[in-house]
Amino acid sequence: MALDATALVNTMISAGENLGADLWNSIETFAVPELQKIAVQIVAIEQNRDAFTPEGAKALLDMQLRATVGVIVAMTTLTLLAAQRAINEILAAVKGVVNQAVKFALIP
Amino acid sequence: MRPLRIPGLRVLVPLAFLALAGCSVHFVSDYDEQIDNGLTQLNTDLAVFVTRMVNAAGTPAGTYTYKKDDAYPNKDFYAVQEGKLDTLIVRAQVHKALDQCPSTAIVQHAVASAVPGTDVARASAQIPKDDCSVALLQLVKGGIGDLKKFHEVQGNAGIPAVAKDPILVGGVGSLVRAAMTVEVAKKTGAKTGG
Repeated sequence: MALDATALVNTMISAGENLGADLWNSIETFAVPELQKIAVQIVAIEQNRDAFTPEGAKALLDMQLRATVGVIVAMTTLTLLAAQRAINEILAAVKGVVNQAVKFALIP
Repeated sequence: MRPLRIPGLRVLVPLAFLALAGCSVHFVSDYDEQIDNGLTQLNTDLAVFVTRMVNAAGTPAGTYTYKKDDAYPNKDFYAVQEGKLDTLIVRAQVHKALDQCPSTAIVQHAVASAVPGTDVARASAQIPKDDCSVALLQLVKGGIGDLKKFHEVQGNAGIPAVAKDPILVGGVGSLVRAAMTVEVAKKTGAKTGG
């Protein structure tokens, strides 16, 4: 059976379609709410400045900055994870189509 | 010279390379149950400790240097948690998939856009040059360090009630949740919340 490039591309695209949904889900349910919480706390620190020593207020603000960086690193990791999953799904889909076309296990 | 025309060859050659390469990619370290459990325990310990310190604020028992029976229980909390995090970092390093987390440029851009004039270099420097999972655990350890410093410089005032949310809802609480979210996503296949 001849290998159909169009069918192969469609299989790959179909397998990769989940990437966008996974990324949007991560941004919507994790990153945005966490960044909003941090922003609210930065305002609260400023409003309650009298309850802290000057060094204490600075340490609390540094903690918020570090938390913001942490959310971005986590978001990057989730993006890499979603990309890894999508690419591996594409490769798995290609494997089925190709092995069926050549009639032997070209891709193990 | 006439080009070689074999149907499907342009598709088959790259696929053959992928087949030889093992046919899968690995950008993120594998799920580690001990890291997951360690972070869950840290989340609980942190919430309990901060609540206890808030309840004891303004008394000697709420200060960083509080001494009881020849021991310093509040100071020791930080030493114990930093030690546990060091172990989790070592475990993450064993599993690491990349040598660098590609977040540095994103952080530089985000901080420069959101807060012009901020020390962007300082924010970027907070991302350790390592695999994303390792970098995230090191940031959690840094967050515990920020809390220790805060507690210490607050002196006799200790940790006031108005600091609870900046610590647990934002701050180090947010860092721990971020690391837990990543571990859960690794376990469940990149699905978060929803």
